[in-house]
Amino acid sequence: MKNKYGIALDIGTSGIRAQALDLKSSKVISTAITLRHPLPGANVVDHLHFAIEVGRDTTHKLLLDAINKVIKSLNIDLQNVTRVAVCGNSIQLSLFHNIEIRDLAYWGQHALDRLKVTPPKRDAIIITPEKVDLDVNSKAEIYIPPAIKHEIGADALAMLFKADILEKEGIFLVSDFGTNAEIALVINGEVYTCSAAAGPAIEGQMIEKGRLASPGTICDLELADYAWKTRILDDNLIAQDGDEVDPSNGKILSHEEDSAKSIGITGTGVIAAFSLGLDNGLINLPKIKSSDHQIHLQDEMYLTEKDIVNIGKALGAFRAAHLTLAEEAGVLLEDIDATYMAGASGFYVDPLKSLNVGQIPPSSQEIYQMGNTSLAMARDLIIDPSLLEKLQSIAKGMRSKHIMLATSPIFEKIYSLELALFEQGMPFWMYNEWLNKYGFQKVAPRSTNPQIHRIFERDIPELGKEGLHITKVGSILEAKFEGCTNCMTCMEHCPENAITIENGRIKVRTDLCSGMGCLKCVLSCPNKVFKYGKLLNSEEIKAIQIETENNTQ
Amino acid sequence: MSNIEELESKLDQNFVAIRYNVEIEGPAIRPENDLDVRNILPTEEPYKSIALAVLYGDMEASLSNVNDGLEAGLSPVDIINNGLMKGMDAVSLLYTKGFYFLPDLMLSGDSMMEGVRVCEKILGHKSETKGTTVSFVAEGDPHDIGKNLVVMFLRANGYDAVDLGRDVPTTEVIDAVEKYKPLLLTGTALMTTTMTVFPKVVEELQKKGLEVPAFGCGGGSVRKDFVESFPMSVYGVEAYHAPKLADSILKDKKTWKDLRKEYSKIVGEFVSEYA
Repeated sequence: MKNKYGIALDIGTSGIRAQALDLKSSKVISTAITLRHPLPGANVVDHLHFAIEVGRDTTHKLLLDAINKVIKSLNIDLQNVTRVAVCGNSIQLSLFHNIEIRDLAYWGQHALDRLKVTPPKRDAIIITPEKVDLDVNSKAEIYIPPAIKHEIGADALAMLFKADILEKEGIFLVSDFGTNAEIALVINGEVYTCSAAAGPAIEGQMIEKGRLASPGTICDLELADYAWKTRILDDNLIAQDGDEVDPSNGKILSHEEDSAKSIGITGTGVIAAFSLGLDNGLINLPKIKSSDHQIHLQDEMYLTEKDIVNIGKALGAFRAAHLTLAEEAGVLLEDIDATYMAGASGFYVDPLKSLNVGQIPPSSQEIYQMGNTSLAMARDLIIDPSLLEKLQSIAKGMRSKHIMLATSPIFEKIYSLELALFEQGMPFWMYNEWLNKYGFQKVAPRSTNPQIHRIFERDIPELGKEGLHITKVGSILEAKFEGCTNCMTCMEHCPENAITIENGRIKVRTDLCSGMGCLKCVLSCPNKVFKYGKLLNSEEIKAIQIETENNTQ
Repeated sequence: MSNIEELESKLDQNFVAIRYNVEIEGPAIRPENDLDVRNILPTEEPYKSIALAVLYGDMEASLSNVNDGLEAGLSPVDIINNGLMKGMDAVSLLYTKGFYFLPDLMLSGDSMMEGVRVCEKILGHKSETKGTTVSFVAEGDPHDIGKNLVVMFLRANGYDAVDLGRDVPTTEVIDAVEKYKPLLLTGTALMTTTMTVFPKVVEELQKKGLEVPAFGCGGGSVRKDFVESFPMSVYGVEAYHAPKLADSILKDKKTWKDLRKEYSKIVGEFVSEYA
């Protein structure tokens, strides 16, 4: 009898991760990941905005094209796949499922009333591959786990489920760090959640030399006398030693022969530089005290003062979110029994540096680095599909309170302190005095002997005997705009070189395009005829052409 | 002690406000002793105490000083102009000098506004202001920290800043422009999905034949090239620039076109976005 397979999928804002599992042995066979999301943009709101502009169907198709490409590189016979489980935040899962997303794009009632949007339930559901055009055996079952609430998706459920603290006595803090961080404070089973729009800086994006974690990126730095020792990810995404560099001028003090050449800095690398820089005084917020106001790392990588402020504000959003949750729940952050860090970023970061810069409360004593919990929960679903029903009852039975940070007066007060720290250089003791003055708890001193529990080597613990495959994704969007004079202004203004013009047709590569956060093409068009919303997936254009050809016959 | 000294040395100058209750060695400069602040603060009582309460962001003291002044028969207008506003001028100055920070500003702003409210109650009408402005957060967007700062800076500089709140439908913005005829309209958004209403606001204004001297747009994901892709608008970089833009409209009759061209000059500092 042929082997039956299952595929676990995690659709993250920064990329897709897929694993093939042998259903008989429950073992991982192979892993495939992408180093970016197939839709243009750097954060999930960009993805949403893109979907609203170009239409949900086109967006869904682009996403599924990419996923189909990823699962093809898993190197298994897709006709023998009988189970697929997919996890991610509500936006990604809705795009996958091709259901309403506009309720996630606007806050409050006004826009939703005007657009007559009915928010979908987002309960646990089993669908067929045909429904979403997934290229696996047509009889396979696709499991989509439930969202906890409208604002809190299946990814948050995954981190709480995998931390296994919902039925425990005690106070636990669980965070999935990403561009949009999910944070939960669990007190004897009662869950306080929030999501912090920390921004793309936390994933290394919007940082001049920043990059998503991938082979050749600087992911950590360690103090070696006066120099900083570089840690670089190898081809298997495991950190290896790199050069020792003087951060104030970039001089190599000790060269590591085997080191890969660095191609960029991950979010965790930026956090490491931030932490070390604060410690040795190289960073005096918001300034860098080197002669050229930059921090220098291996292979001419550097960080600017703007980068430092960006990462600072992202970290500040975490600290302000933690304090807000604790104040809302009426507990002290220093009374937390254990802190759980989920996601790739929460895995590759050095927790001691996280303590130092406020990414997790400095008083954290027991720290667990869990890795990719969304993918882990998808694997669990593949092995035991009856879990889906259990997850539904966990999600609905959860005693939870969601704190909307944007409308919380507590968060507003605390985040203004963060802005003062990172943009204006307010000293930290003043920060604490202000907290006190507002009647909030102060930030407790750093734990003297934090215990770090890191069970695996990688954020995805088992890659399988076939190993890791990195899949390039991206499609072409195409259009012919009425009134376009072929002046090439859009092409010249595109910072990512994503645009080509052939015979009056504009082609945009989605894997390069920065999307709705950029739109320099639209804005630079002298004739105002470039309409991003009119761009279509090349496949659709072919389909339309075939249709019209048929009509003319 | 050494720890505090180290922290203190990280300040640009040896400036520590006594209200932080931090004991340090050496001279601690009280905010009112700053030479430039001295030139701003009134010397006669009770205006001095009223201004000092604002300078210290002390809401209770501010209210009781204002009430004392009113009971003593001072005119509410004098209390506002010679006391409350002077205190706020000093706060703004310390902020631009880097001695005061965002939270100082927010607290002092609240203390000032509470005082103004008490005075206006006695007055029976709104006090004389430089002019009216209208501020809103885009429909569908809850993020209002930026808008709150803009409103606070405008009020601190003597404008009657009408605050429409967050998630404001375009029709409400249009109605407010029709009603108040503001010299400056400001719109902010954090999300790229919601900032798309800004050009629609302009379109609706034009349909109704309405115009504002300038429509300042800013916030998280908002960029200059986007803002300048539609008329009437000016990209606002920092919240504290708002009153300077308003001043230039009021005094020099600047239009949105002028503001786009002369932004750096008008706000009086180098602004990289406009370089």
